[in-house]
Amino acid sequence: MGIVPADIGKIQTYLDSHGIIFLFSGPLSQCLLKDVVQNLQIKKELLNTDASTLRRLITIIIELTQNMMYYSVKPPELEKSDCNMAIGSGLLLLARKNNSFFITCGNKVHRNQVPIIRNKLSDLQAMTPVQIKKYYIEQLNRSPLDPNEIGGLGFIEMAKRISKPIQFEFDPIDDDSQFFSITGHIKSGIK
Amino acid sequence: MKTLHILKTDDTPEICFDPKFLSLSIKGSSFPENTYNFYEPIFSWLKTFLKNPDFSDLNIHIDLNYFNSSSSKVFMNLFHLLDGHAKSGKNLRVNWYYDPDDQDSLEEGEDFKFGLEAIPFDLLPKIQGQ
Repeated sequence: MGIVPADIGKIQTYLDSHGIIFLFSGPLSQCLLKDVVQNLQIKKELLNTDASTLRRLITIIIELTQNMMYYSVKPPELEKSDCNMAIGSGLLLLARKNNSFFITCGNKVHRNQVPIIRNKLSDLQAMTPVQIKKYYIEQLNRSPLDPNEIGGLGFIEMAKRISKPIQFEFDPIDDDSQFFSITGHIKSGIK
Repeated sequence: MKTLHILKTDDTPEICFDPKFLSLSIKGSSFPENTYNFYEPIFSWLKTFLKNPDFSDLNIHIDLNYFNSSSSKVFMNLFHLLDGHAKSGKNLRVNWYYDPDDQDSLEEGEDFKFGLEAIPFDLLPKIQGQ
């Protein structure tokens, strides 16, 4: 059954009632990321937050979107595309509740990637902010970095900037893939 | 040596390498799709410069807005390269510009500085409106 115009109003009401500032679902590329970053800078006044919080939000959106561009399992028509751009497929959401923002990303990942991502994120969840900072500096100075490493420094960068430990889930889809979702909370600073 | 000038885009910084003024500046945002490809010409220019016995001084100015973690890795590699040459006697200096309204941007500079041994690495507040 297709979506009728009346459903759009309901979707919008749902998004507004959950404090969703934006929600994107579908193919994600660097072009879209650049637009999202620009849009948030323009919306700076509407978000009513300080420079530091805005920069944290944007930094995490960049990390999560680029992770998705490189590592998400794409629909077959995107895999076949001869376009040179890295295009991911998934969901990106920014919302605000009371005095906190939350950024959520969700995408399909190959089952081989599940234990790698799970281990990295579980390790970070168990660390205190001081340990995260120390670990970040160690990894920053570690060389050489494998450019193909999943979420190498990116997840640590995210953990360093959020106000609560990273939340994540894996939901089985089929034998080959799982749906990975990740959320970061950021307490808004006072403007 | 010739000047190297790369104009800024929405996701890459302006790069200006001027042998006349002995300065390299990186200014803007840095979150390209392929960070390593973007910075490759800068590394090759810098390596040629550092090998040239006619030049022993270089001031590096870094003034960033948003940057991704692969750019952080590239910057750290750049600072390690410079640090090695500073140890062997080149007169190099990094100026890291931070936003005084954003504590994170000062801490980012401190994180880079922490891994370096010889090169002077100054953390300077950005002048508002610039």
